[in-house]
Amino acid sequence: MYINPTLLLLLALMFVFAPTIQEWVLSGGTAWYRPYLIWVLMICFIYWSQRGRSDNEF
Amino acid sequence: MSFELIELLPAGIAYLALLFGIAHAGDRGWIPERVFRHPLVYVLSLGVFASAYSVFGIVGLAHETGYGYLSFYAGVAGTFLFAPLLLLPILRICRNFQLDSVADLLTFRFRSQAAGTVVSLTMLLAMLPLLAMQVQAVSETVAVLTRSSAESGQPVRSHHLFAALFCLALLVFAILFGSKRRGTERRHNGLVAAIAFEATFKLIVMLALGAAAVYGVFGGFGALEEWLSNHPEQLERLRAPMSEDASRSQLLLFFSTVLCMPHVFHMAFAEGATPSTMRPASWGVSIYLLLLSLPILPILWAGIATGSALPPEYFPLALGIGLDSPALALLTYLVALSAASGATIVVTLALASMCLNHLVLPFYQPRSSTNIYRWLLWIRRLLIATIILGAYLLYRVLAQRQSAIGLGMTAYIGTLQFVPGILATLYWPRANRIGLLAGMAAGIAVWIAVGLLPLVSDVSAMGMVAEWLGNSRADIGGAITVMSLGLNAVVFLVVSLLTPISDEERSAAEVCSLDDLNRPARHTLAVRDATEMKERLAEALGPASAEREVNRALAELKLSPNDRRPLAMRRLRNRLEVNLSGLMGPAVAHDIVNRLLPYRSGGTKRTEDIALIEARLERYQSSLTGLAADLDSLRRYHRQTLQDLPIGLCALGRDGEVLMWNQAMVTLTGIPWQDVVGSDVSSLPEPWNKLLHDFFESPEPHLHKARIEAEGHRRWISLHKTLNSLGADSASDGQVIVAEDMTETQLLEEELIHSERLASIGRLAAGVAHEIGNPVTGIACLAQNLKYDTDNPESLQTASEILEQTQRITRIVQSLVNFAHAGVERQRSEPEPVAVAACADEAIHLLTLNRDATEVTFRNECAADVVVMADHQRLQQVFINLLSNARDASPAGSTITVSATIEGERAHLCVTDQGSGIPETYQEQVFEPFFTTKDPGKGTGLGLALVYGILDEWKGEIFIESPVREQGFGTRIHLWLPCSSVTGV
Repeated sequence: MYINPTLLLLLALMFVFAPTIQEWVLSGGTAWYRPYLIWVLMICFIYWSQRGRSDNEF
Repeated sequence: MSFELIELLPAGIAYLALLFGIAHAGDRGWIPERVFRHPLVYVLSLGVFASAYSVFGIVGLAHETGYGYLSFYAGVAGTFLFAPLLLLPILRICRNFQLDSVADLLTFRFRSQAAGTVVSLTMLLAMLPLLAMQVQAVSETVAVLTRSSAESGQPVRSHHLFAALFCLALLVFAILFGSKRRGTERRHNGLVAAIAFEATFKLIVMLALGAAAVYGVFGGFGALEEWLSNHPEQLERLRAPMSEDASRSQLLLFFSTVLCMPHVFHMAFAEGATPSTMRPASWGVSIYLLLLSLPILPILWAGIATGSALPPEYFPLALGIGLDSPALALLTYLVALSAASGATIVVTLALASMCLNHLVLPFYQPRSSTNIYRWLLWIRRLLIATIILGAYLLYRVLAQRQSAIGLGMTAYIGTLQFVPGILATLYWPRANRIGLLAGMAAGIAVWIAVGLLPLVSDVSAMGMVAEWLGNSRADIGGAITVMSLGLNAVVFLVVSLLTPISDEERSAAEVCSLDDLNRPARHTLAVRDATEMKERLAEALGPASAEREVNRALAELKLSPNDRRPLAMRRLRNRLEVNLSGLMGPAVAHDIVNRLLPYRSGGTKRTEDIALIEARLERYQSSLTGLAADLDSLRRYHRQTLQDLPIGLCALGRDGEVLMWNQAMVTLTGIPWQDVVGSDVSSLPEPWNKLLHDFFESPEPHLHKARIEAEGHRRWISLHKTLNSLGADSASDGQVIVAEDMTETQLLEEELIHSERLASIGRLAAGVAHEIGNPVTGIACLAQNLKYDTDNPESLQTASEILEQTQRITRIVQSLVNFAHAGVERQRSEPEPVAVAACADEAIHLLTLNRDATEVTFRNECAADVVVMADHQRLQQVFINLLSNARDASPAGSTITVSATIEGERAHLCVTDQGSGIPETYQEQVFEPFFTTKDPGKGTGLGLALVYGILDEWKGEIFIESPVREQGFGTRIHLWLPCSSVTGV
């Protein structure tokens, strides 16, 4: 089975930084959109991890 | 502001008509096929996930749980984030085996129709409330928009008439665009087009609502922030932490949506998705959901800020009403209609397929005389109608009693019960059907008791438990999730470990498993060819459908209908099972194929299907990494080495199936590898069939120079078995046979023997000539003396005859000496330019001196400028031999023609007679020494042998044409000699 290493990296980062991220989101004051910023970052990360992969990989 | 039903109805009808139009355009092929293959369309079609719940329910959820509403989106986005781990493997299985639903997947993996039936029934139970929720959302939207301001403080009442019309429209759509048999792309283009359009429309309207909330209600982002700072309780509520269990179970719930919800599963896996469209979706879906969720909080706050009397679920509607914007309110109504219709149609289609495959076909199949396609179509339509009717009735029962959030949650928790089975399909080959059924039974029982029953009845056995579980709805939902799923998983695990797994399940598990260590076995089918398959399948499908299905499978595999190879038959059988699975569900298909196209029972030891393993390795090549990639490279290297060997090599399985046929073997036999790999050795064309089959069966390790007749030529082949074939390694599978073409060696050997024979004749001739020459000279002298010494006429006559006979002996001896010189000693005089015409003239002149011979006319038609590289004397001898042979064969008065022309760098000489010709059987032998057809005493049989020897020395060629083509009789001897660069000698 092939697991994309960047996905593992993402999981590790999320695990390590989860408390920090949660604290940052909750201390946002009127910046209610902070979870969306994290979401955008994740999308960029996934896009980066996907580029250049061939189509017939399962 | 309020609308009349008569105003809303046309708008709704117009929108649905637009949807119909788009679907029609998709079905008719007016939209290019590449549009449907584009990942963006795939992402948008997954927008079906965002049902009416994502327009209304989600605002209520945000109001209740703060940021908790994000789990609704994050769950699905997360599933796509981990697409390589979860979705791509499922897509692989679904595409390979034409599985369209969770029920198909679990039935296929656990080889259990019961699993499919349970999943379908549960899905029906779980989805009907969700469908009812869609109808309710639409009906309540209309009710909110049509009620007068006097009723604004009252609870929202449903609008049953509109709900009934809505259901009717969806029924028509589903029957028209979703129930048809799919094309080769496995996609309902019309449906995909409509759902993608619906998702786009939904996104645009939601963003418009968000913009209206921010700019219309608050006056910009700055003002919104100011409002928030003035209302800290809203921020407080937003960040109020959910209980750990509730938030986790909610995330899990939505995470499993793609796998468990029939409509999302259908759009994600069954409508022609490919890995290349799914991969960009891993971030594309996230972007879509992010944009869709962005306006939720502004809409919620706008509703609160405007002090709407409506429940938070209806704040999107309240926005239009609050801003007094009929356009906005109408758009909200249309988006509700759009979201609800998209989800309802796809859920209905998916449920109808599931019910057909797992609730109808296992228990009733049409007679073989029925047109099965038409029958399936009508049953599917009937099921679609029943499901939509069921949803409407449930809506009538549940209306006013349950909120959208409650209905949605219940549906989600119900479908969650399939998650353990799906994960086990991919990652746990040990799981078995008893465990799956026990686990699902336990989980579903809890779900029905605690989740479903409270929806339809006020009396719930578990009502008190639910109250005890928590206060908020999310808490109760979380607790039900944990209880049902936990029990399900534990029971599944324990029962699977305690009970045995069948062989059939094990092989299906290996096919599905990601770490597939399966070594597929090679079986032989009881049927011999495609025609027999059609006859067998006709028992279940009817002759017409069986013919169509087998032809379709043959076309897809690009196989010839006459292909009888075991490998081709196995592939055809597998493809038929897959195609029938797409038509009738995996369990029924498996049953039909197993019953009607069984494998031959018994047989020898289990043998591996090398061809299948190779095909699989070829497919996965690019995803192999590290050691596996190295091993694959090594495999390729060794394979290429065997392929490129200059010696023929074929590997045969224990059962005689050809597994490998290298390039040299192709050259040797002229049989392409595609025709032979996978077939039985005894089915090879003659003479290879007998040769290889006999050697395969024999215990001998070598077969030297076996003589065969191939394509009209004699050939000699040597065969050898490799060491492992001889039992040195008992674990080896079959034999490896090496074939050498010995034809050239054999011919060389024969030529050598021939030359050796000629040489010995030459030596003999020289000896004989020498030994006979002296006594003959003596006899001639004595005869001459006798002539001088006597006048007796009788003695003189005798002496003359003796002299004549001695001259004859001398001629024979001279021929022998000439032959011996040509054949053995080969006077190596350097060839020089010789004018052919002059040489031929001289030969003719010499021949005409013999008055005793047959009266014939010689014609010299040689071109004067033909000059060849030869020896004058010997070329003359060639002519004399050929011309005298021609004269002996010709009737009196006939003509013998000598001609010579230049053809490129060679001269073409012909001697043509009008004689009796040379029979075909003799034509090859006339050049042999001492071969003659003349009467005894008339010829030595050395003339043509001598000519052959001389020409061979000059690198010339000789060829006999008999009978002469344009005459129909006679003989023409063709000679080719190298031309001289000098002309006019």
